[in-house]
Order: sequence, then structure tokens, then C-alpha cells
Amino acid sequence: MFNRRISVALCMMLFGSAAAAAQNGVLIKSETMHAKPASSSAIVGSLAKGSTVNVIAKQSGWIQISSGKAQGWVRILSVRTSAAYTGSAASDIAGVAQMATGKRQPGQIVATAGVRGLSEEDLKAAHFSEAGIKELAGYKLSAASAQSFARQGKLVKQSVAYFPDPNANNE
Amino acid sequence: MSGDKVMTMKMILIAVLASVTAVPAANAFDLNDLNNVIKQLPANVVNQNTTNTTDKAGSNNAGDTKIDPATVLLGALKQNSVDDEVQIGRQLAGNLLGASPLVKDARLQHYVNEVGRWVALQSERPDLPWQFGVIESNDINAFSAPGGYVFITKGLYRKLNNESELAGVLGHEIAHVVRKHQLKIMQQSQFIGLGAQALGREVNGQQTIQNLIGSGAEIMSRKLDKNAEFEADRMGLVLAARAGYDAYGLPAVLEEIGHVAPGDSSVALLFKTHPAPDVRFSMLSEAVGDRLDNLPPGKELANRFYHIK
Repeated sequence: MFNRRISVALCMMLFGSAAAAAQNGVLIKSETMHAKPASSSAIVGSLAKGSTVNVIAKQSGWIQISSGKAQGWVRILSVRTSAAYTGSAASDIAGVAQMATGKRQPGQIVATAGVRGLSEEDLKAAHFSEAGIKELAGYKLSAASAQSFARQGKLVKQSVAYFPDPNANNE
Repeated sequence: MSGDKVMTMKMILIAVLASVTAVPAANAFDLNDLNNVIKQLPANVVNQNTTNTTDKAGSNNAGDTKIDPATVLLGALKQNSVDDEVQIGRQLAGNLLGASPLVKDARLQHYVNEVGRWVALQSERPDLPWQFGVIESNDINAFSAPGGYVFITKGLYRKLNNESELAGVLGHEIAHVVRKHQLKIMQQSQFIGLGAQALGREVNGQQTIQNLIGSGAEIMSRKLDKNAEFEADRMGLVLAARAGYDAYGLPAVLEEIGHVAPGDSSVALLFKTHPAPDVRFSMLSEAVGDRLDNLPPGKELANRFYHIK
């Protein structure tokens, strides 16, 4: 009995540290793995849709993953990463409790006093704020200001066409 | 309807109209079912089932009263009547701010206008009077209104890690405005028939629109067609990429939102009005494919991202 308790505790500790150390993910489409974060680099393997992977690194559109002995880079949108749970435990617990009772109240924070939500009821009851709309207008910027801001960040415009709807041919 | 986690933030004009009369159940009618909406409009706003809306619409109202929602909406849909579109958006934005004011942080508000205006400049409508704001709410959500009004909640802003993620979120909202998604709902409805008959009438100014829309921003809690959401995701990603940002900011935010416990009240409205984040991520994955393989790496700009105190 005592041993079992210890092992349970150990398991939890291991679990916890593992989850904190590495991010896991799942391939949402079958992918070829590349040696480098570029489609022109050598192909070093392939993984099937649904494969569980460990995330090693990310770099501009590519993600380095490993699965068993296989390791390589795939496009970042091919991997859905699992939660590196960042949400507060309190709100998670509150949410679970709400789900359990079936009395979840949209937009209303139950776990924290003084925190404001934005529920349908709030929206319905809203009245026009002349002061608010004027305040908002006060922050409006010219195109020139935005261009200057972009230059400061060394943002370089790119030519990218909109993507077609991937489901367009299915209708 | 409760089960489908469909779409968005955004205000739909129809819903606006419905909110005038305080329709009790938020989801009591389908967005596209304008018959219902019209039935619930007071007689002095629109006279149901009549082809002669113009005369009857004005008959019961004191003062200025030629309120014809269809005409206003159609006007806003036309390329050459940006003014109506902006006035409609202004009213809705003002109503939203009545529920959730701007966060009192001038540097923050200035910053989101810098990022948002730059991203909007990459769109087909760079010259709209774009205005961006962070509103005082811990919910995780974002909103847009016709004519260039874009809002992000403080709760969502706090989830962001860098400027490219903010650009992606704002890009999604900008796309709704550019595509007139809210206004176009009207086109699919029977309202268009009424509007066609009312075309040519003069619609004057803000007072008319105020009367038309009234108070309430309940429409913000309506969902758009889910394809409009997927389109806004695709366009938002592209707009951020055009602006020189890392293109993957928006999907990164979707992943982050997907990690919030579904029962968390902060995402209740978002999840009710949008497809599930993992579905949106998958749709983006499908749409992008290898199309960005040759795109030069963009910037995340985590270092100049403004953190809320």
C-alpha cells in the first residue's frame, strides 16, 4: 500500500516534469520530413497523419519534430501542438465545475471577483457611448504613421495572394 | 444549435435590427431568416409584409422617420456609399463601447492602431477610416463592425506573445470588414426584396442610422456563416504576411485559444460564435499547404510587443 502510494506520487511528478519540459503534438496530415526547415532540403523520412510527435524547435513556418528514431522538419501548420497549459488552474476548475453542473454562464467569471466578462446580456443591454466613440477616434492614425511604424520594425511588404477555399471544389 | 461551435464575433445588421426590439432568446432565429426579424420589428421601423415600406414606415413615427433599414443596408453594400457603412459601424462600435469601454492605456491603444492600420493598408480597402481598440473585458474575443471598426478584448490581448500574433488577429477582423461579411448577410435574405423596392430613396445621416440600430450590441454575439470565418482566417493570415510579419501568428493564437479549457467562461461566447479553434487551424493548414514555402521569413517582433500592465 505504502509502495503503491509512492509510485503514484512518483508517476505524477514524472508526468508533471515531462509535460513541462517538452511539447507534444499530433500530425494533422501525412508529411515528409526534411533535414532543414525548407522544402528544398533533403527528405529524411515521412510520418503518417495522426502520429504523435515531440516538438524540438520552431523556425519561420517550420517545426522540428521527432517520433521514435525519426527526426526532421515539417511545415508548422501540419502539427497541432498539445496544451502547454497556460490557463489559470482556478478558471479551469471553475469551468469544469460549471460543465459538471450544466450551469455554465457565458461571459460570467465565477472564480474571480471583480473580473469582467462580456456576455450576450451585457451586449444586449449596451447603450451608445458618445464619449467612447470619440476616445476611440482620438487614436486613429494616418497611413503615413503606420508606414513609419512599419519601417521602425523593419517590416518588409510581401506579395502574397489570398488562398482559395480548400473546400470550394467539394460543393 | 447549442452544439455547434460556429462562428464569430461580429455584428450582423439583422441582429442589430432584432436587438432594437429586444428579442428574448439570443438564438431564437436563424440569421438568414429575416422573416422572423421583420415580424419582430416595431411597426414604426418597418412594416412587415408590405411592398410599400416607405410610406407606412414613416407613418407612425414622430419627427424624421423615413427609416428604411433595407435602403440603408443596401446603400452600405454599394461601393460608393462608404458613408452609410461607416455610420452603421460607428453606431455599433459605440454600443459595444457602452458595454466595454476602451482600456485606459493610451500607449496600448496607440500601439494597436499602429499595427492594425499597417495591416489594413495591405487590404483592398486601405483608405477606410480604420480604428482599433482594446476593450475592457477578460473574455477572449475580438469584434469588428462595418466601415473599419476593430476591437480586441483585453483577455485575448493578454494571450498574445508577439506583434505577429496581434497582426493575425486584427487581420481576421479586417477581413470581415473588407468582405462586408456582416452586411452581406442581408443580401442572402428577403430584406433584399424590400430594399430593391425602396432603392432610390434618400437616406440621411446619422440620426436615421441611430434610429435604425438603436442601442444594444447584441449582434456582436451572433455568428456569421462559418465559411465567412474560415475566409477571414485565410485572409487574416495573408494580410499579416503581406505586412511583413511571420505568417503564422494567427494559427498560433488559434492553438493557444484551443488550449483554454472549453468550459472556461472566458471563451464561452467565442466558442459559441466560431468554429472550434482546432477546426479553424486545420482549415488554415489545408488552405496554406505548400503555398508559403517560398515566402521569406517574416518578423514576430516579440521585443516591441506592448505588454498590458
